Amino acid sequence: MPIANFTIYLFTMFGIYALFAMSLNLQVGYAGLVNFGQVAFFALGAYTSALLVVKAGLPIAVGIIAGMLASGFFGCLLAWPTKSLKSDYWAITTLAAGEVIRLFALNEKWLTEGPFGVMNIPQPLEGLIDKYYNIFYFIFVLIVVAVVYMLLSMLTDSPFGRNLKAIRDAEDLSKSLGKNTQKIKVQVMAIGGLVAGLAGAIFAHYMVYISPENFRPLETFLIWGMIIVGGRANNRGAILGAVVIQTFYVSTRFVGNYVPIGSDLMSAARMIVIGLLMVSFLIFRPEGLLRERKKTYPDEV
Amino acid sequence: MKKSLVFIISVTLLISSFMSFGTMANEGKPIKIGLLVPMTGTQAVFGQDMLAAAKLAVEETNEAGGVMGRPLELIVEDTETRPSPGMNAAKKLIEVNDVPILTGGFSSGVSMPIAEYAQKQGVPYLLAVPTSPDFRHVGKNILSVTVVDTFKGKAVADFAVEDSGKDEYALMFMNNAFGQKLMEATEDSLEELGAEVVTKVSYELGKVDYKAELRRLFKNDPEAVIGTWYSKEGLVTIKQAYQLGLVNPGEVPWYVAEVTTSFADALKEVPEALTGIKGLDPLEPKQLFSKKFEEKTGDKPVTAFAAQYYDAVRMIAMAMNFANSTEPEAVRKALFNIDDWYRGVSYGGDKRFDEDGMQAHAAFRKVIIEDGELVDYKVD
Repeated sequence: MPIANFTIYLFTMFGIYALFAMSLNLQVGYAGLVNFGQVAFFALGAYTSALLVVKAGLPIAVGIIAGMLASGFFGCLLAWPTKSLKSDYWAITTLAAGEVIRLFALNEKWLTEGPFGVMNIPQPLEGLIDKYYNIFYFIFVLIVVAVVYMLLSMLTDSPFGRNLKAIRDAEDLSKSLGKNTQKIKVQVMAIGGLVAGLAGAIFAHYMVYISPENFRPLETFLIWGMIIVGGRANNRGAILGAVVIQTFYVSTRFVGNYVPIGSDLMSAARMIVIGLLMVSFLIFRPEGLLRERKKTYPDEV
Repeated sequence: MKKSLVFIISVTLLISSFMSFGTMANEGKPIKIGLLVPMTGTQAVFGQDMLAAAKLAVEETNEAGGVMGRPLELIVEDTETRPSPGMNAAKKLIEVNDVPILTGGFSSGVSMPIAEYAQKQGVPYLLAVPTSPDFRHVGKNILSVTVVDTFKGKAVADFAVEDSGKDEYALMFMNNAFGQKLMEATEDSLEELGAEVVTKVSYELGKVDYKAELRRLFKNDPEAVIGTWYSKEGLVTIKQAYQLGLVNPGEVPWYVAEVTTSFADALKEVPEALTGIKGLDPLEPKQLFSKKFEEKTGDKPVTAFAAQYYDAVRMIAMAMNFANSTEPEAVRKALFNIDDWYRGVSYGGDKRFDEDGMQAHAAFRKVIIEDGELVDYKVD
C-alpha cells in the first residue's frame, strides 16, 4: 500500500512538528517570550542524540534523553543572561542563538561531521520490526505527542501556567505580587527546550540522516506559522496548526495532478499560499483556529 | 469552534481528493520517471536551467520513439534545496507516483537522506549533480552521472601545477558538502604533486561580503589561488578581491575547479583587468549541448549541471529501452552497459560506471575567461 505509507509518513511528521510547535507555544503563547531561535533546541536534541548513538555507541533511549537534557540545559543557559531583556531584544538573542548552534554544527567537523552531516543514525527496534516499521514509528510518535500534550496541559493548567500568562499579560503586576518572573522565564525556556529537544531527537532517528541544512531559521518560522494558525496559548491549537500547515505544505505537491500548472510555478506558489494563510489569520482571526481557553472564576473567592 | 471544525473537515477532504487523483493519474499510458529539482531555495538559480535540460532530454527521447514505444514523462518535484521538503518530494515520487527510478538532485546534503531511503525502497536513484564520495557506500541502487569530488580535485590540482609551476597555494571553497570534499581532494592532490597549501578558507554561501575571507586567503602570500564559486558568490568575491587589489592573474593566477558560464558571465560586471582567470569546464568540448539548449530555450545553459540532468534523463530512457522493462532492477543493470550506446554531454561524455555505480571517467575542458566568455585554453 504505497499511498498508505506516504500517509503514515505524513502523520509521523505531523506528530514531530506538533511536539515542536507545542514547545514553542509554551514560550510564545503562554509566557509571551518571543523566541525566533526555537530551531536551535530542535537541532541540539537531534545532534546530541544522533552523535551519542552513532559515535559513542550508546543506546537510542539514552541518546534521546540526553538530547532532551542538552536542549533543556541550553534553554537555561540562553535564558539566564537574557532573562531581564524586553521581548524584542529577546527575539534577537534567540534568533542569533539559533544560528550559533547551526554554525557550530556546520563548522566543528571533528564532532558533527560539518556539512556532510551525520549518516546512518540507528532507529529504535529496527531489526525487530521490519515490514511495519513506519506504523510502529508513527504509534511511537503518537504516544509521545499524547504524553507531552497531557504533561503540558497539566503544567499550563497549574498555578505555574497562570504565572506564565501573568508574565505575558502584565509582568510588572506579577512582580508586584512577589513572583520571581525571571526565574519562571528560565524555567519555561528549559521546559520548552526539553520538548523541542525531544522532537529533534525523534526527528533524527526517523530521518536516519541529519545535516546543518535541516536547521535553518526558516524552520522556526514554519513553527510560528503553526502557532499563529492553530491558536496561541492552546496546546490543542499547536497540534492542529502543525497538521494544517504541514497539510497545506505537502498538498501543493498534488495540485499539479489536477490543475494544469507547472511544477516550477507550483513550488513558488507553495510559499505564497503559506504566507497568505498566515497573514489572513493574523488579520481575520488573530486568535487562531482554537482560541485560548479563558477560565472564569466565580466572584466569591 | 464550529467554524473551525468545518474548516478542518474541508481541508481533510481536499487533501484526500488530491491523493486519490494522484493514484488515478498513475494508470495513464506514459512511462514516468521521478525528477528532483531545487526549484526554490538557495540553489533555485540552477533549478530552471536543469529542469529545461531534463525537458529537452524528454523531448528528444520522445521524438526518437519514446521508451518501449510509449512516451516518456517526467514527474517533477521541488526539493526547495532543503532536506525535509526534499524527503517529502522523494517519498511522494516513490510511494504515491510509484516511479521506477529517481534522478536529479543538487546538494549532497539534501540528496543523502533521499539516497538512503531510495536504497531501502529498492528504487534506483541516478544522481545528476551531487558529488559527495559518500554516495559510493550507500548501496547498489545509488548511481551517479557525475564524477565525485576526489576526481575533480585531482583535475584542478594537476591543471594548476602544470600551468603555473607554483608551489604555494591558497584554497577557497564554499562551506557545504560539495565544497569541503573538493577542498580536501584538491589539497591531497597538491601535496602529492609536491606543492604546499598555505591557507584554506571556507566561505558561507549567500553572504554579501567576503572581504574578511579574502584577507585570510592572501594572509600567507600564496603564489596561486584555487577555489570554486557559484555565480552569485563568485561575483561578490571577485569584485571585492579586485577592490582590495588582490586580483592580478599575471602575478598570482586563479584557478576555478568548476568554472561555469554563469560565473564567467558574472565577471562581465568587473573591469577588463580581471580577465585571465582559468578553470575547468565540465561541458563536452564540441559544445553541441549548449547549442541545442540555446536553440530550444533561447539562452545558453547557465551551468554544466544542466548537461548532467540531460545526460541522466537520456541514460535512463536508453536503459529502459535496452532492458525492455521499467522494472527497477532491470533498469539499474542496463545502466551499467550504457556507455555502449550513449555518448554524454558532460565530463567528456564517457558514461562508464564502476562497480559501485559511480562514474569511472571524466574529462574537462581547460578554459580561460576573456571578456566574460569561456575560451579554450592550452597549457604550453
